[in-house]
Amino acid sequence: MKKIAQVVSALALLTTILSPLLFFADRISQAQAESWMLASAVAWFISAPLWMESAK
Amino acid sequence: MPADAHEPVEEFERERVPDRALLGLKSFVGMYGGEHIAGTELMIGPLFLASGASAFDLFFGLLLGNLLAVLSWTFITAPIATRARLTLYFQLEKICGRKLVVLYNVANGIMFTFLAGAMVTVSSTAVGVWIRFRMPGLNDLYPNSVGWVVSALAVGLLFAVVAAYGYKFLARVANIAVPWMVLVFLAFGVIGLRQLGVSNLSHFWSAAQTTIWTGGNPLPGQIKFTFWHVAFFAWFCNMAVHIGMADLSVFRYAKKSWYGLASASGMFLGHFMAWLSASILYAVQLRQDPANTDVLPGPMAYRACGIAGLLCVVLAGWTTANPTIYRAGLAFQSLVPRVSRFRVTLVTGIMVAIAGLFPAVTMKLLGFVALYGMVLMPMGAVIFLDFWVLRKLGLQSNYAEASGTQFNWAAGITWFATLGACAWLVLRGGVQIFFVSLPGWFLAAVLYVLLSKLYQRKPPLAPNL
Repeated sequence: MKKIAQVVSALALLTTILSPLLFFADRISQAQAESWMLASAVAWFISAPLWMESAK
Repeated sequence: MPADAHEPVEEFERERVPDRALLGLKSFVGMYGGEHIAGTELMIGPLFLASGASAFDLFFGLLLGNLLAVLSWTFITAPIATRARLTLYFQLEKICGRKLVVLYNVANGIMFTFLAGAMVTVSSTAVGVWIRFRMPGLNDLYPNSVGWVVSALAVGLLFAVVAAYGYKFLARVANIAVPWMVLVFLAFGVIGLRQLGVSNLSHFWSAAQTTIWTGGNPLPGQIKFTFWHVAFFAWFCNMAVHIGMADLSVFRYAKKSWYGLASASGMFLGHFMAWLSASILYAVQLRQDPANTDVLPGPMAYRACGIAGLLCVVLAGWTTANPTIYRAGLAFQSLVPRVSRFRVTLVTGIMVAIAGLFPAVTMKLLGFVALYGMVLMPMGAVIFLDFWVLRKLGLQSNYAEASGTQFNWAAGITWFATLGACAWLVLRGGVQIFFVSLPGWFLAAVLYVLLSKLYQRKPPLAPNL
């Protein structure tokens, strides 16, 4: 479970920064970037506490 | 229910932090990252732009100022904190006596309360995008709509309740939110640059000079910012907590004094990257509508990153306001040590919520943080000199504790005289508030030594143990 949460968290952070970069490179629209960033935020805040808490 | 039932975390307010409670480097990196990647960065960045800072002045001024701030934490604050391991307030009580500390704590708590109130204001601008109501403009000093009042109170009370549960919980929240917030702040800049027409990073510096930070005259009502304004602002915007020693209360938990370098996470991400990103967002707004000079972080973040941007504004304000409310709570608790920290922090949080209703501090944030540093700076000099110098001069350190006095006049007069001199320099001497704290620190240092020599002409006291 912890491993899965870590993978989801990593993907969430990656998507958070890739979305604006793809918008910067004209590969996606701003609306698409915003949607991906929102989805990434949800994924991060659900997954990160699962492994960040147990890591302490 | 007894008051202590609300005390979930040991805080060691009036004792040395024991070895078992010390924290590793990661806690401080997370805490400083969370605290300085904050909603207020979305105010400060635009205010640089409004002040007419040029690209060169902003970039290199921030690099210099932030470096000096990190060095201040590392070589001024942390070495004392990791040796004494006491809160600022308990340390001051040993030096100054209880009655002077009461005065200091009132000043400190008030400044922290207004600062946290500014963070409530910032987060409330995000709510104003979700639930539409009229929000304050750049020159507004008072709340201007019912929606604004309800929003700011709700946000402030939420912050208050969470802050009451203590530092370790807050560090945990910040640790979780920080990695995501850093990337969203970076996203603000990346998306903003594209909205300004920059499509290649090699064009960045050219766009920075000609489109974003063009220099020239400031917007009406703002002071012109040069390289030195930027550098001194970046160095002194947190003066109260590094040179002013408020972060003794934080670094007393550090295993090593070099953990002061952890402050770099806050400075170079929050006070460099985030300020630049926020500036870019404001440049986008001014380009889209030159008449819209309002600095409202919520709408600016929403235009760049949508709902994720709004969430970032709320969280950034939250993770910053909480330690500030906590510090204000510690300040006020030293006035009433028998009342639980939970209750004091909760009441402080309610005061913060009320302060957050008024946009005056937020809209004048550059000047306010300079004032905040100036007011608390002299006592930082007193602590520094008392800890490192007084004994070498044959004088008594921790004089109040050793002599039993309730008011160390040497420290008191140092504080009042330094503030008086700084105020005179600003009001009559033509020195801007951003620059006055540096000569002020040296004045306080000299005054404290001289006054201690005079004040301690009494029968010899027992040596320090």
